[in-house]
Amino acid sequence: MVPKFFRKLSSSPTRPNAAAKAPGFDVGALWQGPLDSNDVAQDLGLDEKLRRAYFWIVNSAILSPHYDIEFNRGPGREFSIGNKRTLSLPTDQSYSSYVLLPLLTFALRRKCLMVGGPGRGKTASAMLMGVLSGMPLKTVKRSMQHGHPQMTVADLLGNPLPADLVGAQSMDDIRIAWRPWLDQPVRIIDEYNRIPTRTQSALLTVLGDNYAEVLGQIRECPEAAWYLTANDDGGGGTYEVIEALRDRVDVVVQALPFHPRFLQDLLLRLEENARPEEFVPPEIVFSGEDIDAMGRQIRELPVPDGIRRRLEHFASQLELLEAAGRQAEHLSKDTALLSGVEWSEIQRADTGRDRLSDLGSQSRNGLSVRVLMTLLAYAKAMAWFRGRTEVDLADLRQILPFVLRDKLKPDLESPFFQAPENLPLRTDRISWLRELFDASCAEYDRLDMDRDDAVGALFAQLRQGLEGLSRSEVRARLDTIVGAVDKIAKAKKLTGPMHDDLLLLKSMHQRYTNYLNWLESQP
Amino acid sequence: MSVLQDLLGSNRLDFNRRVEAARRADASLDTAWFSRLLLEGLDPLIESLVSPTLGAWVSQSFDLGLELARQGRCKGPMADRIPRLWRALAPLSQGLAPEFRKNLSKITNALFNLERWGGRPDEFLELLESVPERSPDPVGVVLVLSWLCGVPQLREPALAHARTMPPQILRDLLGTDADQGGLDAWATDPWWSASRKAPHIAGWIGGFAGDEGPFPVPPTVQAFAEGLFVHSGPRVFQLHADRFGQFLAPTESVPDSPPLNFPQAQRSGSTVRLPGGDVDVGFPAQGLVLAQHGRTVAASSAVSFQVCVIAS
Repeated sequence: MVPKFFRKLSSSPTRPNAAAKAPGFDVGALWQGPLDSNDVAQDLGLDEKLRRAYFWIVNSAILSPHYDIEFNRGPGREFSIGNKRTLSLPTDQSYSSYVLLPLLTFALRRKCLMVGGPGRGKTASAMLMGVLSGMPLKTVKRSMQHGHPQMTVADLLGNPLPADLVGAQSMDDIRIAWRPWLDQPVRIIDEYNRIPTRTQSALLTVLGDNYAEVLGQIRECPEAAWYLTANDDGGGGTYEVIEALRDRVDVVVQALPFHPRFLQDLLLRLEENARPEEFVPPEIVFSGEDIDAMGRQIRELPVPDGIRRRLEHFASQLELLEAAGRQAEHLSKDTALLSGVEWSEIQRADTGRDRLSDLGSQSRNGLSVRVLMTLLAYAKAMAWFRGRTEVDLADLRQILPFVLRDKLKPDLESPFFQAPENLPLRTDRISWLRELFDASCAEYDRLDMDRDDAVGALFAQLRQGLEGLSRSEVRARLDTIVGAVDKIAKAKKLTGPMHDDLLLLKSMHQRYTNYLNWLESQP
Repeated sequence: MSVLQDLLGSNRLDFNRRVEAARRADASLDTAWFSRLLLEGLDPLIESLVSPTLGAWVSQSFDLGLELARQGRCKGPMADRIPRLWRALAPLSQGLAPEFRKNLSKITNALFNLERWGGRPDEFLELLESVPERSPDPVGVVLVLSWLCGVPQLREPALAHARTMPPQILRDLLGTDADQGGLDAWATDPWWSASRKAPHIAGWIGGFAGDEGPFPVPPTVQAFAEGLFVHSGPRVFQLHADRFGQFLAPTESVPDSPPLNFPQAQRSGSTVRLPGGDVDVGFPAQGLVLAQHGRTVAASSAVSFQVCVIAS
């Protein structure tokens, strides 16, 4: 029998402020207290249920006292420790990334890569997610795919039936015995970087497009949350992971070291012969409908314009590379990367800017559409998890490094990473990305872009539609656009946001020009 | 040998193992208190029960007690109150079934909440010990008693529940007030009593945050259609008050409705003038703020961390 305290769930609301927004009193509060009265888990909001799952995992299963996703109400306290390192004491509920990110992935049905040394609990954590989805533990274990150098496509997806292989008259007649894991709501690929390259490509179609293909036969798979693990994601696996597969991973989270002060909990597990995945409380198990509803609620959460603009501003900083081309549309890092010219050679040609202060010079690439969509989805999930009614800047700031960890590649040769104070950021990607975003927001504030955004105003005007505009109005708007282009063009230094504004002005100019041409062609 | 001893003895190894596991998880586990709970609280409770599922109830109660010990809930006055509560439930025990564990948990939690919300747990236990055996619904009884012992925010649900109780039990709980239309009267007048009193100070509530109180700065009272509210710096509370007690419920904001600005209560120096008489609250005239909702008047002062509650 598993001791009851392994199953202990928080009986009081995990975020009281999220629960008590309106004045009033619920008589149910009288019955809630130190003892589980069974009423507590009923009629919980799904966000509260997921928070209880989080706290159960942190306190009873994974034992992660690392609160690296920090939120504050008012100023927190910060201490200087060791050699100019910092420790802060957040004043609002904060979280352990290693537990929170897999849970948000579960709620969103997305893909999470867990990295870290052997024995840090990556696989156990992934298995917990499977149990949270209602899968029996045995099914979770049997469904888990273990990467190994001899893994074939058939091992991964399924085998053709031997009788059909002999007797079939056409490929369509060959039936496939599909692997059951393809239908599970949580899919776990352990040590994915040990899978041979060809099998990785087969995995890509399932992971990216939710279908499997063997000998021309197609198996459509339901939406699922994915967990991939890797002991060494820096190229130390048996096989290099193909870029497309890496790109499909939404968040990367590192298993943080075990805190030795919790050894007594391990001792208790040893003595009780109990493993956390074996005693997940039933109150925190989610049905398929629950997961559907969580995804819906998360998607519905609004992102205020001011927050979206900051993300746009951040993305704008990262793509521009003047030295990459001559035409405005091609001044991007992608142009340079696709050319095959040595990166360092292009960087040497990128003169005329202070590469120490230029945020764009810190990375070798920009942000893709997929990454931006993922960022918005996880920022919404973060806000929802905190019981908020809309995304705030802290949600975006905290979630951003985990989405970009493998997506935004640092240019370690840039002067920024050579500065002695920034040397730790060469290895601490999370801190680098957070500081990069902070610097972008500081620039946004300095430029007062919440209030001073002339190009944004022109774009908003265009978005209201062209129908009914007179020729004179269109001409007036074209003049305004030309004036705005002229103003930016006169600046001595071209920044990423300015470059993006120029491209937007050009595109607006095209829309109005085409419309004016059409108007003038009318009798 | 008692029924409890018999049932514990029949599965002795398992029960011992549970205690041992809890003790290993927390070496400071108060096993002496736990033994006391079994002997003084659970033993009489189980003795009063007749059921084929008695063994399961013993096992469940055993785990509940162990959980309380594990959480260190057996400190201070609660060390005596919890065994006393379980013992007091013995006459009502048949009403705890069939959801024995759930009901026992709810009632035990209620005792903790009563203390946390500034109620009178010892008075509650005294009243519970006097409840007649014929009461079929111990959870409902606890709800009504909690209200009577200083938890005014429970007034509405407690009154609603009281209306469903047999008249004799109601009379045992509420005394003669129950016979004189008390249930209807309390629904509209929180200060109703068969022997009506002149306006008087019903109590003081609050305190400085530095002394474990709720207010970081001297509070200000305000009335809305929804009730009385108290501001103190960034904090906002709803003030619940009636004849049996007062409570400040933290809330995020005051209601959206416009405040009620013209109380019948008028100031005259440190005196509050009401239609039924005057009440001296002892606050200086300067900085004295009054708010009134129904028959409840609240007074705050710029020089005090307390709110004075007046029954008019």
